Amino acid sequence: MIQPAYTHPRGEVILNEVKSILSASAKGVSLLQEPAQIIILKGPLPQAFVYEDKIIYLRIPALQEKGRLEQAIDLAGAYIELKMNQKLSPLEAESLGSDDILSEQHYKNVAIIYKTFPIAAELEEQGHKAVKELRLMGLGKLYQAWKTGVTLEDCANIYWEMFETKEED
Amino acid sequence: MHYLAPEEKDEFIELVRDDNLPGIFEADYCALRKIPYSFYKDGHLLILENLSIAPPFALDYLQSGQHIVYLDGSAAPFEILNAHGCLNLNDETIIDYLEFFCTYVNQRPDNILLLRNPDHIPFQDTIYIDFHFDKNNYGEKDIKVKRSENGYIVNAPFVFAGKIDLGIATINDNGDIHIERENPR
Repeated sequence: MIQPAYTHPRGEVILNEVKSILSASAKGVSLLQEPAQIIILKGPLPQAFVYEDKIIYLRIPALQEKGRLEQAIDLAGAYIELKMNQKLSPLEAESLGSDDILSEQHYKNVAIIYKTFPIAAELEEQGHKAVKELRLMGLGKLYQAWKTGVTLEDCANIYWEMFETKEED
Repeated sequence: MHYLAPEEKDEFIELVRDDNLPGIFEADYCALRKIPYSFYKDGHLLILENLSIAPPFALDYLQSGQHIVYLDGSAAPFEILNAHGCLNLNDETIIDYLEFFCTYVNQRPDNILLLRNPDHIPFQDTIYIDFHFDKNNYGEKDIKVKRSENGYIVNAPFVFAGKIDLGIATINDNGDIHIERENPR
């Protein structure tokens, strides 16, 4: 078998472009000051993965050649998770799969999304189509709720409703 | 689809791991799912999920016998397997192959997707709202397959960059796929 190559061939260029987009937000600039190693992977679907408080992985389709707003929002979320991880104990592997841990993981996901919204709002103010991008990412309903000033708890309830509907589908 | 036993998962991770990417391939945090596909000889999709986040971080691989490729969003992994003679294209497998290829070759934001089951189209996030009104006008019955001299021609509804249109897919016996609109704009 051929050893898989995971890193994106245009990772460096894409990362610079993504950072440049995120820099349009003052909160984004602040996040970019956090020390972190960022690795751009290739894969069919965009997704971020944060390893402890050390490494941010951004996965981007191999055919994509430029950094996009979607990845700037993903990168913001990843930095927020990285900062959260500085205060959390690493998850014990034995605890995976339990309902409690799964609920905690999803709640953390909502908290990351919730904290990403102010950055998206700043990007929108600076002329990026961040609200449209959030809608395309499936986060439009949560963002609209956040705009009305709901709490994280309320957002979590909306997230659960969305998640349950998706599971039923 | 089924989850593989821990020993099989560990063995697979040893094959595909990259030690320059800490945290991703930690076996204790990973699960491995396997889904059979008959368009490759002894073919499977293997999904390695890191469960330390929710939803999990997933890496997808195609296996045909001893050959394993990582699906990176381009056509290159398919070309590698096809060059090894792994392909098993026939009247029964051709649509599955075309659908799978469209799903795993991401040309975002200009994706081309086969509209086979409107409720299970991937990348729904990239699809225009009109799709959700139009999609039920189409289905598997609209997919027409015919044999050509050196492969297959499939006339079917596709989603081109988020919008439904009729398209023609030309698939040669080597597995190369070309898709275009029936009526180019």
